[in-house]
Amino acid sequence: MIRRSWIQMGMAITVCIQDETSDEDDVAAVASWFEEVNQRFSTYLETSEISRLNTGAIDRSEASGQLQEVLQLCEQAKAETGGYFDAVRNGSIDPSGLVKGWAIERASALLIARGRRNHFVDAGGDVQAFGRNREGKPWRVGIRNPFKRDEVVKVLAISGRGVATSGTAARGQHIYNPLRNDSLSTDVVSLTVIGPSIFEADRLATAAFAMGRAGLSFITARPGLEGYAITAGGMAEHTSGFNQYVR
Amino acid sequence: MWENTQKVVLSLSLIVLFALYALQRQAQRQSGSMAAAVVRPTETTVVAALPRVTSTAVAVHVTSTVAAHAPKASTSAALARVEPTQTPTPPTATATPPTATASGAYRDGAYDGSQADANWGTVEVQAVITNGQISDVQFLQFPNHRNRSQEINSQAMPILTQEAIQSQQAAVDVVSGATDTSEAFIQSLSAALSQAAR
Repeated sequence: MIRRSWIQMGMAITVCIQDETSDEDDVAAVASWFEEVNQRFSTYLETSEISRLNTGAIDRSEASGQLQEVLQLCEQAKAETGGYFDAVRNGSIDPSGLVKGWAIERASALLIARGRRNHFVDAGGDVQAFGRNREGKPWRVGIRNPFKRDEVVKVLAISGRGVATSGTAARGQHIYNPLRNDSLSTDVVSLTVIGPSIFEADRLATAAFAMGRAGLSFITARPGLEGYAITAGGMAEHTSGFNQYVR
Repeated sequence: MWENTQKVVLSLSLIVLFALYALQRQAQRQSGSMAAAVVRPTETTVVAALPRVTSTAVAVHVTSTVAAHAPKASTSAALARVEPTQTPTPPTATATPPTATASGAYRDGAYDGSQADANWGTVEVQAVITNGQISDVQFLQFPNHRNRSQEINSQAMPILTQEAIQSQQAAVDVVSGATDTSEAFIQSLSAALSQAAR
């Protein structure tokens, strides 16, 4: 078993591979992939392909296959979420909200291709898990308590699924007040989505979170997705199929 | 004397703006419509309405605090707790021109960080340096939910069961949690501090 954590793409990354045959090369392969993603999609790098597209140095038809694919996926996400997911911001394109899940899913596929069928990849709190952990059971994925970041409020059994959580860590931490009984206490501060892949879970969690209370209804309406929403008052709601994942 | 008048005018206009917003929000609620464009808690609108004060420290009370959880130890010391309150208080303007006697790592003044994307909005913070040290950190912009014109029919929302969240001491392999805003905050703060650094 191999487990490594590091910072990349401005996020905390953890890769854990249970397969006995796994080695450092597997981890290095994932890190290389994420570096490629960073170089292509980081809006903080002037030299990235996305930055050069945004400045007009290149146009869309000249963009790489991967960038074109991501742009297309962004348009699709915008249509599916009624605009709640929108990569266009201030006149330029920022696909970060979608690239994250897309990159994690590809990292996971990379590991599968290398024969590592029991692993998870976690980047910035978004997780794609396959196979079994060292107990021989689905991976135990905790949902972070938005009010106390060193605690979890749910434990999920995840295998062949992606788990993404969208939220406002900064805001939620302060608002929690069990005695509070005003409209602010029903604000959603954390929304976790379980989907068939981390790509699906991630892009839809972002959009659904922006919808506020209606976000969970949006998740409910889409087959194959389950969700768990935590409000500022410390209450939570979940979709009907969510409990099948809970341990 | 003029300075005082300015302060009074500024604080009065803040109060008026806030009162107008509160009235508007109340009217919205009474009309029973559930706008998808839920204008998020008061602090976002108040912050957006503020004039950008660059040379003085404006104490803006927002119902949020900065996450104490930060990957870098150096920035956690800078995070200031902002008190929760519904009404904006008059700005406590303290003009702090750079002083030659300050001995800290930073030059006195107020420094605005760059806008950092928080995936669904923008975070921008202002670091206030007094006597060479970080004395306060303010949000200038906070992720603001989009203003959608389309309404979501509240009658279509199923009634979902509510439960109180429960912290557990269970062992897990990995934790899923939101990090977006914190990351953007740290990025913006770093940018502000690098402007302030000697």
